Amino acid sequence: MFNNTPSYIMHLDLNSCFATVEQQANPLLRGKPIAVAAYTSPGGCILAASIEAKKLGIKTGMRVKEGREIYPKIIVLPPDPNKYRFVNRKLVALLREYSSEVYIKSIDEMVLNFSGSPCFEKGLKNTAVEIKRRIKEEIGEWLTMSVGIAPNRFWAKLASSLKKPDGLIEINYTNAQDKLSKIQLSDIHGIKTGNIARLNLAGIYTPSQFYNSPIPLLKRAFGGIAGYYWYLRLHGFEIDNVEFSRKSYGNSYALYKKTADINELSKILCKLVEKMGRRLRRGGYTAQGIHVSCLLSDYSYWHQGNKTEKAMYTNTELYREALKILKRKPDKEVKILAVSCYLLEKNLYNQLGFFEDEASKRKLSQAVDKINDRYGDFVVSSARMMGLDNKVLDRIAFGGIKELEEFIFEEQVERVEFV
Amino acid sequence: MLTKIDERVSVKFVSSVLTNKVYPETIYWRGRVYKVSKVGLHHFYKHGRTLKHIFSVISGETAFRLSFDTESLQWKLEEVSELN
Repeated sequence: MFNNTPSYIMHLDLNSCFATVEQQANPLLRGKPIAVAAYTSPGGCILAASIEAKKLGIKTGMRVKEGREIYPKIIVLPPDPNKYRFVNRKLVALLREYSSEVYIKSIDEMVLNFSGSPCFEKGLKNTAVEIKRRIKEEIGEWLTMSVGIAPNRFWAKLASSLKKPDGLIEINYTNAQDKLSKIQLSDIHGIKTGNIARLNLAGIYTPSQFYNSPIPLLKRAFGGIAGYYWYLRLHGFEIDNVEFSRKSYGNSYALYKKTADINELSKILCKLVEKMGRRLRRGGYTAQGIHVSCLLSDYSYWHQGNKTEKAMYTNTELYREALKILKRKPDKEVKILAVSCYLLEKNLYNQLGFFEDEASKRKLSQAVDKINDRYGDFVVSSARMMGLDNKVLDRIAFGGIKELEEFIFEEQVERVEFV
Repeated sequence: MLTKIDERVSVKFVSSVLTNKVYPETIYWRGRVYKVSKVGLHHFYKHGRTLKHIFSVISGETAFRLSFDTESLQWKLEEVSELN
């Protein structure tokens, strides 16, 4: 039986986020097929296609040259992360006027919990219409959001994905089964190849069968408690209101030209570690684990991690440990290089040091960070990084964006109208 | 086509308390005058401790990306793009 409590969760999705924001910034691009790609060269990966480009069949994840094969005149732009973060912050500031519980799921997705909120009284659909109108008036007239309303996060997200762009759909106990009958298993987020295979093995081939399956069958299909969680999710009960704390910091780089040369790779590793180290220290953390991974030219994946006795926080320590791992990689060309640190403790500069060199190490690290805070990242950096000015650019991660916390401005986003 | 410029420019800027509107009105660049017909987006970010305001504007069939450095109080034309 579906949870018959009123819908109090709203999921908002900014349609074709990066591309739409670019069209907002440059009105001459509006109504045209455009794409934002990691690199504008033919091998660059398309990060976002505009609504017009999507209608032609151009999708996120395609190469620029694939997009051009579909539509040769497509306009391809490099990403401008500061612009997208700014729009995200403005959206969040606006949404916080409606609910104290706003969860930023990614750069273009937000979830609002309206339980106990006055907006709940006047109806969430009316509230959603008002939010959509205010976004156009106060942030950008070209921005459209798809909104889903439901009794839990799962259904609200699904509802927001059913009509794009500019949708507004509520799913509750009256229409949930009807909505399920019109979609495929793969349309359910969290259900992709592996889970479809599990469900098929249990004799479940459609979302309706999935919904009507008893708990023991789902437990068998998913091999345990996950089956019970799916039952609750599908029946409108909230089990996804969990916010995970930060477990790691990491940065990665897709090499323009693949290489096996350890000298070349160590330079890129150094820059990745400096970016990661800055973020680690800005968050007030130290790390006791470091992990390096490579996507190799034969599309195999290699990775190794190390735990260290002492907590690390300086770039030198992090780089030294990461390089040790990198040197153990197979002798194959690398396409993507990634580094991350884990086993985090929020105790930067709080630990007592027995040795004198610890004090000078701290002072040096703090001084370098202070200069970079004042004049911008990489003003003072390792000599190993010379010649890497345009590599490892600022990017926005897919999915969860803990990184957004690092870019929150102290300044208020003033509400001033621009012509 | 997008072209990186990165040149200092003169900008006439309007800040009206009556209309609560602020916007760059005119750009003077390489001896020519460009009247801003629309501000697409204004955003800002910090480079180090310096706050930079970016105005993405159009004048006719040309799009401009202007930046205002709040420390030096200078305007820069960062990019120009035209549709082919």
